Amino acid sequence: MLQDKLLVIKCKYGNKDAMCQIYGRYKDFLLTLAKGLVGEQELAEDIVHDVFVNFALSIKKFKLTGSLKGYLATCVSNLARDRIRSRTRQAVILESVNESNWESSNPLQSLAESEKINRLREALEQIPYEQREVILLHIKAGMKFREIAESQNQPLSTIHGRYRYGIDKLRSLMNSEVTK
Amino acid sequence: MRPTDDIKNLIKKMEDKTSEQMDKRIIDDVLQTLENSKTTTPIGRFIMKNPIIKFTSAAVIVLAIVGILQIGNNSSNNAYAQTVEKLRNSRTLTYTWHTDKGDYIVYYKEPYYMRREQANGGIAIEDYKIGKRLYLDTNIKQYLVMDFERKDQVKQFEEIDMLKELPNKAEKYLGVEEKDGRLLEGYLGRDKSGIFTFIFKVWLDKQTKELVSIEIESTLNPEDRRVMTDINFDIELDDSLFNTVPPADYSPYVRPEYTPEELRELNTRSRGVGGLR
Repeated sequence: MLQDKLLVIKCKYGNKDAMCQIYGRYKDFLLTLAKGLVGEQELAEDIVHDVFVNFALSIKKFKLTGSLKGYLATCVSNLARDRIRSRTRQAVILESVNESNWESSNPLQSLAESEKINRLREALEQIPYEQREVILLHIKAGMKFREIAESQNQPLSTIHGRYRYGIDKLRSLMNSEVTK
Repeated sequence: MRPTDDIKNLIKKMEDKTSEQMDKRIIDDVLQTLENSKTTTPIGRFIMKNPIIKFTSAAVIVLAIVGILQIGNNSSNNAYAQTVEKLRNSRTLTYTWHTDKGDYIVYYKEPYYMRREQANGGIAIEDYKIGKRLYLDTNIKQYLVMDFERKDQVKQFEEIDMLKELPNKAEKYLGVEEKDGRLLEGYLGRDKSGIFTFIFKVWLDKQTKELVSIEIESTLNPEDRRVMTDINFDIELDDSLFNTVPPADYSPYVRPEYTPEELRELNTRSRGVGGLR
């Protein structure tokens, strides 16, 4: 996006407002992505924190070639992978209704919708990390399979396979939740 | 089998919001990092080295000063100041909030009460004197009551506080624009008291000087632009509007899947309904 490019240029000159705008624009999306990948609120927040601090650290040399959203999403997924490897997975934190649910629609109906999303989060936790990563980067971050393959240095067919198997498992897990 | 599209839609709907504490921690660290790596060649020095840019910059500065003087001399700026004064002294306020997530009507009564009505039938009533929040679904006649700590008050009424802290003098006169068949005069103000800057555009009716709307956006998230319309000051608001006792013909909303711990978490997370930051 042109606006992202302008913001990056301003950041290179040390413009704090521009950096705040980039943060404001992508913070919720990146937190959602990070939390979807690692399942823990605190760890997800740390990942988003580190991604932005690293972004500020490297801003002078940074060159935006694709989308900033895709770049930041890749940073989150890389960091999440590192963190996941370096620590034992902990129990899933059950997410409850957040303020946007109350705002976006009827409060009580939102609870039912929120419950479905909680089930999805639990199901996501149960599929292999590599599959979860491709699913979230493709669906949530809107990245193309080719872009994901390039960012992870993997053949396109591998990425396709991870996505397909991941979706199948999610579908199966969600289905068993419903029929319980 | 659950269709794949359903899973895709659910993933798209997954949304986590950063907390104010998280924003502060990250922004503090990021801006400090940015400050440390700031270029040693200030842009001002570059401008002053270039004669053409220097001349243009000087012209811009002169125009800006002329603009500021015009604002100072503009008699309609008094109308802006009077509006700000009215907002500051108002004991009750009602307005319609237009947000990207929907519109709702807000009723505020100093110092403890807030009521928000969504167009789709959801109502949230908050009483900060007793620390209680009531949610009503008028479509299915169900309710949900939550207790909260009264220390939340500052965050909860932030939008009201921001209105009451609008600067006495507008930073910029935005001129006259026609909106919905009315001629409006606009004024721009900023609030830099928090971590992020909020930009207000206050629109008054050119003839009557009546407040028509206030547009608010923040540097944190420029796309989260909100507009206030139908603003009324100091009208009589009956206490019954802020009653947090569920109506007799409503039944409690049952969520057996949540434990008491999760309910507490839910309560904590829902405290920021309608907040900007």
